Amino acid sequence: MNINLFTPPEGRSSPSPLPTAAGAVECPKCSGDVVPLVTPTGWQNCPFCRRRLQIRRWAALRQSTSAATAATDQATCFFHPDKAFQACCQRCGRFVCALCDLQLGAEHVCPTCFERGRTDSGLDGRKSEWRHRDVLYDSIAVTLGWSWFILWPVIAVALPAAIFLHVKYRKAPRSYLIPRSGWRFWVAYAGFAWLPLTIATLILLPRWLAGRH
Amino acid sequence: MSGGTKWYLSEDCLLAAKRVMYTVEYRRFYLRDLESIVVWPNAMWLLRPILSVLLFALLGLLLWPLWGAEAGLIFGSLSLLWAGWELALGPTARTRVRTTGATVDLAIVARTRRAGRVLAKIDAAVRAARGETEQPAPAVPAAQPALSPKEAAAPIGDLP
Repeated sequence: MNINLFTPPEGRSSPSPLPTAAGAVECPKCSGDVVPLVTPTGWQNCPFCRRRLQIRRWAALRQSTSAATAATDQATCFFHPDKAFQACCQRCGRFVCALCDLQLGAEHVCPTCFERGRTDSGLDGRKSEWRHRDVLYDSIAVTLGWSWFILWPVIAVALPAAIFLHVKYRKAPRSYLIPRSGWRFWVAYAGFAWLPLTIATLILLPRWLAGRH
Repeated sequence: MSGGTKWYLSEDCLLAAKRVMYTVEYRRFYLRDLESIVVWPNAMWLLRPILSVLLFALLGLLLWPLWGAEAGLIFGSLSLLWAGWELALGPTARTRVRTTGATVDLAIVARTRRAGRVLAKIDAAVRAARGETEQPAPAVPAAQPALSPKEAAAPIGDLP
C-alpha cells in the first residue's frame, strides 16, 4: 500500500524526460521531484500537485569541499594546520585548504581577505566584485530638495545637507556597481528653488506689471 | 520603501540589485553555480483585479450622492479598464533560484508571460559560460555571442 502522498501510484505513466535533462527539481508547492520537460509552451505541470511550472536546470558543477588531511611533508592551510593546501589567496598569499578557499569569479581568497574586502568595498570601482551595497546619496539629496516644504523651516538644514552631499559624494553615482550620472543632485537644487521662485513671481510680477501701467 | 529588484546579466554572473530605501543591495549568482530556476504563477494574482474593481466601486458609491450617475460611470469605467489591463498582463510570477550554495526566492520576472524569454536568455548565458570551462565539446556551440560591456550591464527585459 502506497501511503507516500508525494510518489505517484504505480501504473501512472508520465512523459519521458529529456535524456540531457537528467535530475529533478523540487516543486515549490508540494516539494515533489519534478523532472524538467520540453513542451511547446515551455510550461509543464507538477505530476503531484498540478502546479504550472517553467523550469530551467543545469548540471551542478560541485566544487569539492572535503579538505584532505595533509601529509607530514605537505604544505598546509593557514587556518587549518592539519588540512592540505589547495590554493593560494590572491590577496594576502596565505595557503588555504578546500574549506577556506573562497572563489569570487576567477579569484581565490581566504576568509579574512573576503571579510576585509566586503567591509572596505567602498567606492573603489576596482573592487566591484566585493561590493554588496551602495548608498544612493544623490537620491537622498533629491528627497531633501523636494520634501523640505512639508515643514518649511527644515530648509535651514536641508539645503546645507544637500550641498554637503553633492560636494562630498559628487563622484559616487558614477562608481556605483550600476553606474549613473549625477543629474539628481541638480534636480535637488531645483526642488529648493521652485517654491521661492514661484512665490516671488506671484508677488513681484503683478507689482511690476502695475508699475509699468 | 522597497523599489523592487532589478536583474542584470553579465558574462559570468546574474546580478540582483534590490533597492531598499536609499541603499541598493547586490547579490550575485555566478552562472557556474546555477543549478535551476523555477518560475510559477502566483496563486493570489487574481486579487489584484478583484480588489481594484471593489475599490473603484466603493469610491463610485461614496461619490454617487455628490456627483450622481457620472460618478458611477467614471469609476466603473476605470475599474473595468484596470481589471482588464491586469487580466491582459496575465498572472504575476514567483521564482526560485537554486545554486550550489543557496536557494532563494527572488522575482526574476514580474509576469509569467515573459518567463520563457527571460529564462531562455539566462539559459544561453549559462551554457556560454560553462562552455568556456567544460571539456572541449564541438557539438555544443555558444547560444549567443559574448556580451559587450554595455550589453552586459543591460537589464533583463523589462523587469521591475
